[in-house]
Amino acid sequence: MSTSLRRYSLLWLGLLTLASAAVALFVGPVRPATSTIIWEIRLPRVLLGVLVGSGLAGAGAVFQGALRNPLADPFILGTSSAAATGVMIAGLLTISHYSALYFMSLGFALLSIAVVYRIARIDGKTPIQTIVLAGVIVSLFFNAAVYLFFSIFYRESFTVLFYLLGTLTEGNRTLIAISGSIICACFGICWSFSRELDALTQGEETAFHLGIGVETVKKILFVAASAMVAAAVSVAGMIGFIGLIVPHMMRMIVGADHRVLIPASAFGGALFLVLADALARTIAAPLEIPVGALTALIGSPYFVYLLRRTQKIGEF
Amino acid sequence: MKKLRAAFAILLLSALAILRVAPTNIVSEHGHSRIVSLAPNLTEIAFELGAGKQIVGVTTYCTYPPEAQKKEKIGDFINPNIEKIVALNPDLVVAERWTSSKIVPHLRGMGINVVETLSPKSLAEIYQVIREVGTAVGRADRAEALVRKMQERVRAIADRGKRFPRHPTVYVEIDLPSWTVGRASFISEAVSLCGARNIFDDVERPALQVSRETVIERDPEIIISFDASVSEFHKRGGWEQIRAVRNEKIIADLDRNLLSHGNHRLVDGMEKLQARLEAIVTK
Repeated sequence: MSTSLRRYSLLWLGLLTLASAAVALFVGPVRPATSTIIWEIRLPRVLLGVLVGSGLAGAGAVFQGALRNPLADPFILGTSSAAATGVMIAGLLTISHYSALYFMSLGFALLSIAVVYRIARIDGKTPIQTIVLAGVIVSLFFNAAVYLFFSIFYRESFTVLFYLLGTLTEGNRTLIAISGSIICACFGICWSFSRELDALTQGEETAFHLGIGVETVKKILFVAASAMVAAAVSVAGMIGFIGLIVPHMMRMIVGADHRVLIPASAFGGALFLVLADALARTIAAPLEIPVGALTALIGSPYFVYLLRRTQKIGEF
Repeated sequence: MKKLRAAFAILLLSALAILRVAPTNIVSEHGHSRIVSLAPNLTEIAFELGAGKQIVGVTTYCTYPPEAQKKEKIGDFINPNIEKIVALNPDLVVAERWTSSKIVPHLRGMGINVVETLSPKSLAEIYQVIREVGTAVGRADRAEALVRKMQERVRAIADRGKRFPRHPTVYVEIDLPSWTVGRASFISEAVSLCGARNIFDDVERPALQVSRETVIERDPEIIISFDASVSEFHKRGGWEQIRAVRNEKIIADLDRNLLSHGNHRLVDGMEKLQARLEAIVTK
């Protein structure tokens, strides 16, 4: 596929995302919807879907590229487990204000990035393998803390459960705005390092010989991508699948050039999450289906279809 | 001319402000007329207080009283559907307090009146929840009367419990694999008022997961089970030697909602439980 065609596919993806967002405004359990429902409930929800979907998928593309690992997902460095621990500690401190949970979760998730980086640094360098291992270790540690909490506190553990249930029902605009700005800023940073990321996927040595400050670039990319994930998890809980599979889908559609792949993943993630959420709140109304379950349920068959057609999984 | 315009603008703005504020403050003298309940225990209280007609929306878990099942469903306890709630145009939403519930701040942000009750841990707190709901739905008097009636019945239960020839030890299993209640739970309090003793009332906590060998060690005379059936207890390794299992003193057929919802129906549950306990200790 030529570069210009890929540019066009980006345009198409952007238009599709816009269209799906517009459609999602008019889909829901209440028909016909009043203007209150459209503006005060669905609009923030669609916006949140766009932000979280693009943040997770964008971060997924960065992680997969930089770690050269097709199984890397946005939660691979323990960000989400750390967010859960933050909420759990808020519960232990009997903090009763809702936004405090958000800041605890965001704070811990951001803190975990620093911890992972500190653990992974050996002699001033942070090899890819040690980053992954450090992420796994930090993630296991925080998971253990959360499980411990779950086994000791019965009712209190619902707090963590409720908070981390992947859902786009957050209605506090300030919190959405905070997470949104973090996601947008970090996305911009990741995108502007597309060329360096392309080089990194060829291997660190190659990147070094191409004249790239490998250590600095890695640090910037990992911190920015993790911060995006932290912001997404704090505001919408754990929504799986998107960060892992959407970048793969997009790589099959637009190719592995990160200048195109990162925004394409963002569009794809947004499109996918917004549509899945519209379905989630509608198909079993008045019940809401967990949107994370639905993304995997719809996405997996489509992914298999793409896979059979292109047979290009995991090529960077 | 400029001043006139400014005055007009101010007038317009204040008119808008009044229009914006006014509707949320109007409450009819009989209390709220469009109530949505986000928890089964609160639905039951509201119906008991005679506010059933004012209720327009409940959760899918709200199955009692039967009239509640005819109300519009707004989703389940964990995932209420905010669009459905708003579409019902409620003037009051009652919810059990969960810090992490995303829906309450959202509803409040939209100017909807939400009353959050605490999650009761004792009979005294259950009385408080009933009073809170009573005040919220404009039936404080009936709530007070209901509480007094409950207190009377609880006193009778306690008197009868004290006259038991002996006070058997009880293991209450509220959930699998072995979640039970500690002293800071109204279930434990109810068991002791009925004349028995919770084997884990030395733990100052509402609920705890215990190891199964501790239950064997504490050897309860009676088991009350909310979830597991009688035959399941016989299948648990080593549990055959527990007195309750050996002597078939397992109570697994009580309506768990009566004992676990934390409202006025707890007293019904207590009376049923006490009758069963009495049959065991007086045989």
